Formats: sequence, structure tokens, C-alpha cells
Amino acid sequence: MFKRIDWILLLSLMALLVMGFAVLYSAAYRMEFSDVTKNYFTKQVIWVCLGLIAVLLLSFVNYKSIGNISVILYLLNVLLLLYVLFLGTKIGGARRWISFGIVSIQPSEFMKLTLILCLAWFLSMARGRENSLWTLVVSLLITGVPLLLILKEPDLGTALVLIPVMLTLLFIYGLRLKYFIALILTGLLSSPLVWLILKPYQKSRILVFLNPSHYQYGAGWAVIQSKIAIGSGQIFGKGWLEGTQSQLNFLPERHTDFIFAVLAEEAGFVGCVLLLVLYFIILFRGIKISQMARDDYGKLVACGIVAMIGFHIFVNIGMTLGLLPATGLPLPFMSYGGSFLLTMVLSVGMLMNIYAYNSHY
Amino acid sequence: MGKSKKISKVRLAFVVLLLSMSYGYTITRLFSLQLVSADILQKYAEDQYIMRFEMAPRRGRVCDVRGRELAVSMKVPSVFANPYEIENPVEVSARLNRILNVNQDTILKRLNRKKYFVWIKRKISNEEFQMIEAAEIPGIHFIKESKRFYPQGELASHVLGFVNIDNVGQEGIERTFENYLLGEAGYRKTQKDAKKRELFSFSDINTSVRDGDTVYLTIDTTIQYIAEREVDKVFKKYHPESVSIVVMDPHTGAILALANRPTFDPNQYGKVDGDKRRNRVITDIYEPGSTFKVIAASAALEEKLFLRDEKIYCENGEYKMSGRRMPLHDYHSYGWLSFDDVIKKSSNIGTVKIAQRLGSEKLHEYIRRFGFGARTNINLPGEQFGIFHPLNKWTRSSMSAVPIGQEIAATSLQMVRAFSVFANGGWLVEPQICSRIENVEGVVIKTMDMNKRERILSSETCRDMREILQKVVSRDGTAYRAALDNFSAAGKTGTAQKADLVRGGYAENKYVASFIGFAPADDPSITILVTVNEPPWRVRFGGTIAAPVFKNVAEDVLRYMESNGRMYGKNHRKDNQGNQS
Repeated sequence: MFKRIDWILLLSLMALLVMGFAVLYSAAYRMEFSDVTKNYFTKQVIWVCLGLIAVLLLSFVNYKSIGNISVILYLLNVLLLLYVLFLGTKIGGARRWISFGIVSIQPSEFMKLTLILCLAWFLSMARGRENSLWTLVVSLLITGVPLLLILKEPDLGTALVLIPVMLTLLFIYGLRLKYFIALILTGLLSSPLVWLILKPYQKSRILVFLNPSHYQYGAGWAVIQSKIAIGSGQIFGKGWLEGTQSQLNFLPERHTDFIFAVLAEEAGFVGCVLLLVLYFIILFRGIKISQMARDDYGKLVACGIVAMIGFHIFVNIGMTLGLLPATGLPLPFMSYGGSFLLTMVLSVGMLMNIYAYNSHY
Repeated sequence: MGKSKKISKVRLAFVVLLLSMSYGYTITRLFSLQLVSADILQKYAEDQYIMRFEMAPRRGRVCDVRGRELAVSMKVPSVFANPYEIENPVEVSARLNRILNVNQDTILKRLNRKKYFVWIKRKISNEEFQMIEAAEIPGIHFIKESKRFYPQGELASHVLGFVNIDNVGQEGIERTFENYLLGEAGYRKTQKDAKKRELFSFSDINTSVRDGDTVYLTIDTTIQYIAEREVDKVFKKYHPESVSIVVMDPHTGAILALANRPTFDPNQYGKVDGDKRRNRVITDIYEPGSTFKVIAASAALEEKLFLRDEKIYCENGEYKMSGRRMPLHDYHSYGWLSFDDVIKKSSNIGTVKIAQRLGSEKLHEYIRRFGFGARTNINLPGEQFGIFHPLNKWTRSSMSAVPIGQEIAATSLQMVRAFSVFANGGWLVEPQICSRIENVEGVVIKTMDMNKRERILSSETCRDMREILQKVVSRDGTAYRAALDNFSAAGKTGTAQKADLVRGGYAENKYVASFIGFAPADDPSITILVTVNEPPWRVRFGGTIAAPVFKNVAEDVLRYMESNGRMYGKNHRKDNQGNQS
């Protein structure tokens, strides 16, 4: 049993979760309302526990069986998205949540993993049809339905994650290169059209990204404060709970989107590199597991998970560093958010599962 | 399992490459922010959260030797604004303009700056303060600033100097003792959050204020007052270019009084030009003329080249010398004069003959020993070292010019110090202006160093010189007007033509009349120098215009010292000289 546990992955995950607790604790330490403050941290701890229990349960099921029920999982998740759209709880102008009293869940987060499971299952079934347009069309449909539902919430960031996940799966699966390139070109050419359907706040984020100092006291505030926080952290940081940017409320959204800036300010370059190293282990362990897997489904799921986690990491950090526009993607294992955290922990659980069922013999 | 071979290793490698590139890009950016631009960003961070309040120290007092205040600092209100707290800068600037009479546009410009602190008007009057306090304008605040006051006005202004609006010493004592008077500012640092609220929960970093030290001068206000009164009288009566006076304790070099006319009120230093603020005693040099004759005379006595009753032929007033185009003249012509009488009558020819026996090398050496050509190192700014040519630059005429105080220029301070050598029995002292410095707690942290003196003449020579110079003040001497009623006195007059700076040579009708003397003659308590720059023609002689000033000052000062025996410890009245050591 223990031989089948990927200790490297498990220990890295634990280290990340502990680090995440420390950073979140600091980020919420001087939040405006102290009772909510406690909630952020405690809720996160509860979600992590739930996630770890789920991983444990997951380990008793062969991932291949999960593949077989992935269509059902997918359909259930799409139903939840529909439910959210019509009956979900509205917070800050967006319907993203299903609320159960003190906790609420965000089906769009689970969709990230569900899509990987379902699309990978479909592609592994479609082996031999790499040159068929039919494969591409079905893949686009599988991805497109939840994507549109999530966009409608609206939640641009989460919707965007589905695209690189799909692209990675198609690419690894071996879709004819011609189709692949055509797909990407179509996407790029239609991006001006996307500008037209973007909401005003989404447009302003892109404008701010292009010229942040112009919007210094408005929409650009967050990015500038984030850069100041990161830079002033210098090599060793200002110390835990000592970051002036974080503790004096200069950093907005510091428990979610800008949590990396809190780490960077208080733990400095050293702390950031440590985080990146832990991420590196997870990502490259995922690639390794993908190579270890003896079936297409295992290979595709592992690659999809690596793509999803990697995309989150680099888009989020890129945003806090001022390299990419603010899209509102959280940072895996660090940002506050139950559904997201659960999805990330379960994703690593899936990797461990693939490892476990491919490591014996 | 054959299917899985279709997963292309190349494509997987491509994904790995993408991941690696993202890593590289992120780390590079992180490096550039946290290590390359770190200091700039750190500064940004500090600028937004640190609020720093400076607490200005109180500038130290300047007192006379007996502790009477000559410069003090008082806290007066100044007005400043925090532009972030002002909602309508136009309206606020208009109101400030009405109350404080400040330029509205200037104020408006300041109120529009993105700063937390801008000055509106500094060191306002009490009425202004009451009006603006009553107006209760949001964003307008007060801070107590220290303002310098000179309670005695013009008294000793050239010694005291003054400070600028930021309390930085610009001249005089205020400048040279800046480091002591300044004190040390205290700071209170606090943090503010993104909503610009001060956070009291954060521990403040405080450094407490240390007020400036108190500087006690060697000046005695009473003596200073006497000196000022007398130079003022001369200045107002004869309207010379300038008048200067120095009263020195010959034994310690302590300056007891120093005054110049024209003068200024340091409370309003900005209202007069630099000419009036100049401390001419140390910044101006002049050819001393006859007062300088004592150098050659004392050198000749020290070298035992003359007996005091030895007769010297004074050529009946006209002495032709080789190397000199014009013959040397005496104002009155004399035949044979004793050594003593050469000085008493101030014969140019006699003095030159004394110097000739001394020789140029010895003469040069003695002038140097008397401290000419070098600063006295008094603790006041702007001191000049005069003009004293090295021996190899002396011309053939020098030996007929230098002994009688020509071809050489000195400051008044150098001259009064030279005469103090005879008064104190042979010591060249270092002039002192500061008697001691005390810190806020009253602990003395610096005292006058009176050991910085050098013996340059024997006490016998000095006793001889005192006797000779006493004769100058006698009834048939050149300075009979310097004779005191109650005390003995000694000294020497000088009437030097001023150099013509435009045409070269000497200016017609432009003189520096001077008298330098000490009293009581046999055991002096004070040396006094009086110079009158460009007096009117009829009173151009030192014996006429400067000697009476010496008399008036010396008489009053000695009487004052006598009545403060505990302080000055001497009594030298003519009628009880015998009782004194």
C-alpha cells in the first residue's frame, strides 16, 4: 500500500498547504472585520481537511473507473452550472455560487477537473481518429458548453482556464497539427470580436494592464500596490505579519488574487523561490506520472491537470508581477476559496491515483 | 497497450518547454522586482506608510561671561497645511490670503502639491495666530518653531552674528558654534494605512529632542556697553567710514568687548547690507603705521642692541636713504633723541635707524613671532591673515617702510594681541571669544583653553616697553589725550595713510587713525584698540580722535572691574598702586 503512494507529490502538497495557511493567516490578519478574518482562515483549514479526506477516499477507486463515470460527472456538473445561472447566489454582480448557509460552493471550479476527466476519456476513446474533424468538433462541444455557461455567470477567468486545458489535451492526444494550428489561429483572429462582448470592467482591466500608472488611483491601484509589495520584500522579506503593504491595507484582494504579493513582501525572494520550487515538483511530477501511465486516459488526465495547475500559477503570478492583465485567477493551494482549493487538492489526488495504479507489478 | 505509443514524446517535450519558459520568465521578473528595483519600490512603500514628524530642538542660548542673555530662542507658531485634507484649495487659499497676507497663487500652488506637508507662513505674529486659529480651516495646522531673538539689539551684534529662517547660523558666534547651538532634532515616526489613518497600535519609533548648548562668551555686557557707547559717540560726531574697538584681557586673550560702527540689529539682519554686518576687527586689514613701531623697538631691546638712554640722530626731519626715491620725513623734525623718545615722539627716522641696527632678518623674525601674517584662530568666521611679505620679497625700501608700519597690513585683532604681549609680560596669546559651553543640564562641556600661548619676549623687555609706552601717554607724548584720571595708562598712536587701491601708492586725505594701549600701565588688566577709518582731515591723528576713546573706555571699564573685584580681582588706582602686587 505505502509503496504505491507518491511520497514526493504528497510531501510537496503538504508543504504547499502549510505555506498556504501561513500566508493566508497573514493576509487575513488585519482584515477590516475580525470575525470574518477568523472565518477565512478556519474555513480554509476545513476545506483542506475535506480535500484530504476526499483524496484518501479517491485512492480506493481506480482512476480508470472514474474515467468510465466521467460523462456522468460532467453532466452533473453542467447541471450545477445551469442551476447556478438561474438560482445561484448573487455576490458582487455575478451568480457563481450555490449557498448552503455558512458554506457555498462554486461549480465552475469543479468544472476545471471534470472537463479534464471527461475530455480525456472521450479522447482516449477516440484513439485512431486523430485526423478526424469529428474529434475536434466533439471536443469543442464538450469544452464549449460549460465555457459559455461560466462566461454567462460571468466569470471570465475560470472560463479562460478551460481553453488551455482543452488545447493541451488535444495537443498531447495527437490531434492533426493542421487542425490544431487552425484552431489557434481562429481563436487569435476572433479575439477582436471578444473585445466587443467583454464587460466594461473586463475591458478596463486590459487597459489598466497596458498602462497601469495612468490609472494609479483607480483600477491600476491593485497592480501597482502589488508590485510595490513584491519589490519591497527584497531578498528575505519583511517578516511574517510584518509586511506594511499587506498589513496596512494597501494590497487589495490579498487573500485571493494578490496573495502571492503577501508572500513576496513578507518572505521575500527566498520565499517566492521556495514556492516556485514546490510548484515545480508538483508540475514535473505530473509530467513524470503522465509518462509512467500505461494508458492514454492516465496520460491525458495527468497532462491536463499539469496544464490546469500550471496555467493558474503563471497567470496569477504574472498578474501580481504586472506581466499579465488582472483576470482574477487564484493561486493554487494559497488563495482563499473552498471549491477552488478542493479542486486543486483533488487534482493532485488524481495524479497520485494514476501513480498508484501504474507503479505496482 | 500499443495505443499509448501514439502519445508523441515530441509533443510532451513541447509542453515541458512551455512550462519551463513560463518558469524562466516568472523568476526573471521576480528577480528584477525584488533585487534590481527593490530599493525604489521599498521607497515607494515607505513613502506611503511612514509619517514622520520632526520635533525641532530649541537652539541654545548665547550669554555673556556673567550669564546675561544675548541670544535666545522662543517658540512661535508657524502655519502649515496637509493638502490631502483640503477639499477646496481655491477657497482655502483665498481665506489664508486674507488673514495672513500671503500671496494667494503661491499658496494655491502649494496646496495642489501631492504632499502631506507644505508651509503656509512661518513664524507668525500672535495676532495672526489668534485669527487663523479662530478660522478653524480643515487641513491647516500649526507647529511651534523656534525663533531667534537678540534681546540687546545691536549690542555685540558683530560677535553674535545671526541665523536664517531655518535657524542656521550665518555669521559670528551663531555660525562658528552652530554644532553646539543647534541641538539634535527628535523624530516621531508613525505608520498610516491605505486610508491615510494614523495607526497608533503600531509602535512608534521615537528619538527625543536634545536642545542646543548654551555658549558663554568672554564678552562682558557692561564692558561691551561702554565700548559701544564710546565708538557710537565718535561715529556720530565725526562720520568716519568706520570705527572699531576691541577690549581684551591681555593675560588670557579673552575678548571682553568688540564693537564696530556701522553696525546692525541681528533681529532685522535682512534690512541692512553686508557692509554693516562685517566684523571689521577681523575681516578688514590696514597698514598699522606708527603703532607698529613697537615691534622693531621691542625687538631691538630684546636683542640688547640699544640702551634706553642711547641717543639716536634723527636727521632734523629729513633722511636720505639709498634705495629710496623720496627722503624719509618726520612730522616734527628732531635732532638727537633717546631710544625712549623715538617712540614717545613717534619719529619715523629714529625707528628706521633702530630697525637698521636690528637688520632685516631679525626684524622679519620678530614680526612673525608677533603673529603677523597668520590668523589668530579666534572662533569667529571670516578672519583675514593680513599682508606680510616673506623676506625674499622685501625690496631695498622695505627697511624704511616695514618698521614704521608700511608695506605690511594687519587686522585690528592682530594688533591688539601684539600690544597684549607687553601688557602680559611677553606672551603671545590666542584671542578667545567663548569662555565656556554648557549643555542643557548645565554641565560644562567645553572651557576656554588659555594654555595656548607662547612666550616671545622676556619680561624685562616688556617692562621696558610698558615704561616707554607710558611716556607716550604723558603730557608731552603724542597720546596725552589717552591719559586716564584715576589710572596709569600706556599705549601708542598711529596715523597711517590708506593705500590707494585704484591708483596705487597712498591716497590723499585718507587715513586710519588708531590708538592701542593698556591700563593700568605697570600691571595691565585690559588692552584696548581703537581704529577710526577715514576720519575728517582736522582730526586725522590717532592721538586726536582715537586716544580720547581709549581714555573714556578704559576709565569706565577699570572702574567697573574695580567694583566687581570678585570677578576681576584687581584695584590699580594711581593713589594705591603700592598696595598691589
